[in-house]
Formats: sequence, structure tokens, C-alpha cells
Amino acid sequence: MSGLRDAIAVQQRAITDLEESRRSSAAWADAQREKLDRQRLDPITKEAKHLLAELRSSAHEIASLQKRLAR
Amino acid sequence: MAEELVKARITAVKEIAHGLGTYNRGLQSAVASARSDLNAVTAEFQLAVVGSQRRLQAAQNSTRAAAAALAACRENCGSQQQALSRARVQEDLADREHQSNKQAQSAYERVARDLLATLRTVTANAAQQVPSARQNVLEYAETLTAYLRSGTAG
Repeated sequence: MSGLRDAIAVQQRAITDLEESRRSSAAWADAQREKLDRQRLDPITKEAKHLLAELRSSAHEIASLQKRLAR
Repeated sequence: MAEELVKARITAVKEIAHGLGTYNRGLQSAVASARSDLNAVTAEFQLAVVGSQRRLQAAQNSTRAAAAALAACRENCGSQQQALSRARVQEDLADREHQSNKQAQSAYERVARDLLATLRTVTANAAQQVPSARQNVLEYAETLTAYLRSGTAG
């Protein structure tokens, strides 16, 4: 499960980096930025968070199924 | 527009472009790591099912052998009867473990299939969205730079 844990950590950092770059440009607020946010960056961020949530949920389910295995 | 403001915007859009690049590399790495782990876990479940199947077959062989020994016994067959009872208990236990392993493997395969589908979708969408968004912000940075160069700023 170390791979999935790594994937979760990396995806979490990737989202943090993306959001940090958006926050750092927060002073720049005009129609162009809003359009960019809404049309380009929001869908990417939304999908990134969706993947992170699914990675977490899958890792939890898989760990629980591994405990059921008789070896 | 004041020159300083334009410069600040150029820096801002370049930061976003950089953030997108970093995000894309992080996403690729996360996806590769998840795929690799799923492959390893798939092998782990397969190994456990093969192992429990072998134990079940061994238990079935023991039961058959114990039953044959009892059938061949003509007198004072208590110990053969007990051996058959024990073998049946072991076989039942092995059967339950094997069924449980197969159920866990099926449940895992559903989880893995769903996750792989999401990985494929997110990767495909990112391959389209990220370069396009990056291109978009870089073009805007170039427009702002050209605006500065034209000498109309301020």
C-alpha cells in the first residue's frame, strides 16, 4: 500500500502547489483572471480533488480487504 | 494601465503557468505510483487465493484419505472415525477461508477497476486541460509584455 500512500501524498502536494500559485496571484483580479479561473483552473482543481478523494477512499477500502485475506 | 501593475500581472500569470507545470508533474507521479501499487496488490490477492485453494485441495485429499481408512477398517475404528471428523472440520475451515479470499478478491477487483477508470479519465482530461490552460496564461503574459513594450503603459 506504500504506492497508494505515495500517490495520495503526491496528489495532495500537487493540489497545494496549484492552489498556492493561484493564491500568489490573488492581487491580480480582473475579468481575464476570473475567466481563466472559471474556465481553465477550476475544472482542473475540481478534478484533482476528485482524484485525491478517490485515492483515499480506495486505499482505505483496499487496506480493509487485505485484512480479510487468509494467507 | 500602470507599468508596475502590468508587470505584477505578468509575474502572476507566469506563476500560474509554473504552478500548472508543477501540478502536472505531481499528477503524473501520483498516477504512476497508484498504478504500480494496484499491480502489486492485485498480485497479492491472486497469491492469497491460490494459497487458500491449495490448502483446500490438501484438506480435501486428507478427508478422502481418512474416509478411505475408515472404510477399510473392520474393528476398533474409533480413531479412524475421529481422524475423519477432524479432517472434515479442517476441510470446512479451508473452504470458508478460500471462499472468503475469493470474495475479498472480487471486492478488491471492483475497487481497483473503479480507481483505474478514474486514473484514466483524470489523466486524459489533464493531458487536454493543463497544456491548454498553460498556453492560455502564457499567451496572456505575452500580450501584457507586448503591451509594455509598445510604450503605452502608464
